[in-house]
Amino acid sequence: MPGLATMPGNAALTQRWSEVLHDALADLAWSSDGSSLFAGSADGSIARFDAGGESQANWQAHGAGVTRLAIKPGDDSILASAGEDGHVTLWRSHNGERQALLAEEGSWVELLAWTPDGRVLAAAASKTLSVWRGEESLGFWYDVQRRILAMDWAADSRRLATASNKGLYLWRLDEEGSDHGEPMQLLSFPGAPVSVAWEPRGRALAVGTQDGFLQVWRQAAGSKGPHAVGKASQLTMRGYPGKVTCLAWHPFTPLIATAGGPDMVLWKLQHTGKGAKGQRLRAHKKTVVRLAWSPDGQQLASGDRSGLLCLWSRAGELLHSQPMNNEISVLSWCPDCTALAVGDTGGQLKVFDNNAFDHSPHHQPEPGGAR
Amino acid sequence: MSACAQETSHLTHPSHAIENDPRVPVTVLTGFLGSGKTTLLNRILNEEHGKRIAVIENEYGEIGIDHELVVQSDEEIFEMNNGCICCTVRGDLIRILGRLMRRKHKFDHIIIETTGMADPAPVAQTFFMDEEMKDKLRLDAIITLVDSRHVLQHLDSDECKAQLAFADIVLLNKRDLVSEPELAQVEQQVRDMNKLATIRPTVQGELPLDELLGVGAFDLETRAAEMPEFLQEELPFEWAGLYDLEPGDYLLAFKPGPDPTIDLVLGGPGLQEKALFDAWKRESIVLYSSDALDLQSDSAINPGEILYRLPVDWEKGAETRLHIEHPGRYVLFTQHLPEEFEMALSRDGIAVAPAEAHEYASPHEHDETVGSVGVRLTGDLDPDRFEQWMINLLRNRGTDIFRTKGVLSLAGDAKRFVFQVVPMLFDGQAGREWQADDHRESQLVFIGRDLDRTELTEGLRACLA
Repeated sequence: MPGLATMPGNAALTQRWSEVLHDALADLAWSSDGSSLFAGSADGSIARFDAGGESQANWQAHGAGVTRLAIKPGDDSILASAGEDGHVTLWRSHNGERQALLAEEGSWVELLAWTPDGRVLAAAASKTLSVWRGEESLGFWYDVQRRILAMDWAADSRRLATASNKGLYLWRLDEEGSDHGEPMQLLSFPGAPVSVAWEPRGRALAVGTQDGFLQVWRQAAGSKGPHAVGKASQLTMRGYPGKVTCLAWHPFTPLIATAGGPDMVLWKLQHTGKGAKGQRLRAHKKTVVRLAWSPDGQQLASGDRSGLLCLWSRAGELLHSQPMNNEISVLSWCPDCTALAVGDTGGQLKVFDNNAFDHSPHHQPEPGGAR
Repeated sequence: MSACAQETSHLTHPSHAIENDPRVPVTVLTGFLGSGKTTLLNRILNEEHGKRIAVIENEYGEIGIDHELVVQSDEEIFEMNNGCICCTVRGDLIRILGRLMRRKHKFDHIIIETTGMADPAPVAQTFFMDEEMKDKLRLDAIITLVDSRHVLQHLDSDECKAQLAFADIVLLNKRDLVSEPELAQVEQQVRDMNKLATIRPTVQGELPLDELLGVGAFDLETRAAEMPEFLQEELPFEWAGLYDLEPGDYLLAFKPGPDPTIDLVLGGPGLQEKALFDAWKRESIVLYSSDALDLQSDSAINPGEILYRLPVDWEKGAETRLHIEHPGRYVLFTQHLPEEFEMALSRDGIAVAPAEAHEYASPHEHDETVGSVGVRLTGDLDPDRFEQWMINLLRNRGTDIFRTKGVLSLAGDAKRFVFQVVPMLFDGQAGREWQADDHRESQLVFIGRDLDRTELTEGLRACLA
């Protein structure tokens, strides 16, 4: 299969540039215009590369490994990062000048996410959830019972779903942007969630569990408003040979790409109450560790523990595959879909041109898409 | 096997010696506060060994947190609902270890420190249940550290028993603070609970690092070589005497003793041959786990594959005869030590002394609490029946069985089958080949709570092909 990748003129992905960092790639983030790529590494550094791969800035951001990077939506000048040193920091993305140290936690900060509107930033470290608007703290919540294992903001920038052992919780920002204090428990279930993802329009929530289940809750047909999720219909998909760590909703259609162990399944949700149809995508022999849809929804990238990178069409056809040297640790699409950045645990960062990208106007973001 | 009793690593890692195993070894270090864990950890971290070691310590640890490779954890138990509610893993360890393993410069060894109160079962299961952990890490050994001065007081607690029952290595630390007899007593009590563990008295955890790290206690192939001997000291009889006897009747007399009956096996002749003695010993183990023949007052004991039960009157004692037809060397296996009943063998009033005698450690009786039970059975087992028995055992008694190890003789299999059980999980693979002159038999040791020797022995017997 590696041969496919090197066929000139034919390959779906061709390498634009590559770089080897000192330690494993932990996270990647593109600026909205695709002119800068930020790379966070397990040695605590953040590097900024331009589109051609020239290093523009490099700074020691954390005393231990970087865990997450998040460019502020709507403002490319602000980059948020979280690290194993317990820090949550805002940086001037251009040069790495520190703008604000938001938090100094006693444990790894492993989750970090802006609301889609870029107004609020949430971070979770162990059992503490912290929320900021800009540099202003909106509060933090500590619950000795609940370690936050995964979280995701809904498209409305209001609802935050967090997953803890045996339960899913829904947090809601009120009009002023502050929080009501306590989350609403969305549901309790016997398993241990390891991943959570909102459907892009916020009407369904998917959860992957340690014991190999995928659960999807959907708002009942015709119901409106964020609280209606409580009466959701529930789908349970089982049979994954490992924990379901990868969830990637298609940006426009009720389609979710999932992986647990080496099994990768594309589920197409039918009308409410009708269940879902699964399609196995077969190429990976080792556990799939990362999945990412291109922002236009035309391609799906997947990476596995052996370092195999695959590119799939929306219909599930394998377009391309090629090996990296080590376990893939992060996949990140350039917002304009023309490039895919891939990082591995050996510190290798590669940026590929997406030759499958159709530049004709009718394939630009679908009408009525993300909204 | 089913979800409860999954066969694990041999599917993904067909027989590897640990040197060739690319997975990073993990040592679980457990023990109560004050047992000396911190001292031992600091020594491991600071000693010149050239290894990159990461330590995951529990929240209340005391080792320097400025050490870059120390990560704090707390006990977060995930229940696995794929068919068996009692399977659990440690979510915090999966998360931390997962991140540690996604680095460019891998660690040579990882040590997980847990408190004496932590349940060791989910820790062990994590390395067999979670696909990522199984793929990248291998459980090397569970080391339990105890304070020799206080361990006997703690033996009443379930937590302490579990810690000892799980251990591959027990360090009786602070041995300099107890007398030799006290130490011997502690060692014996620990041994009674866990027949499989290596027990080492230490001062400040002083032990060469290669006896603590990289020992491969969970590696079936490495352990297989040691297996055939591991049951030697656990026999259902306490004594064997070798006698040179002539044709005729001998008088065997007992004074009142601690038991109202005594079970006996007489084998021979031809016991000069060491191999024959070993064969009779094995045969005797089988006989001792079967029904005994009650000796009537006028009947005699004949050499043969029979277990005799002699009633011993609490005032008069008992007498019986050994009926010998052929001259030669015979073996007499006795359930108890001869001195407990002042046993005497004589012919025509002349005492006959054994040419050779062997004493065996007293077998562990059915125990209300934590202990080890060894079972040994001659012959081949039916693989399907054994599997079904093991599944049922794990389903019904899973939470009470802490560790099990065994070597099996399976019908139609040219190789030994070696297995172990960490709570709920069965892990097995082919071992060494049986040679023509090998005695094909199965040996199992169970460590757990409220184990019933008879039930286990009969259960295994029912699996015979």
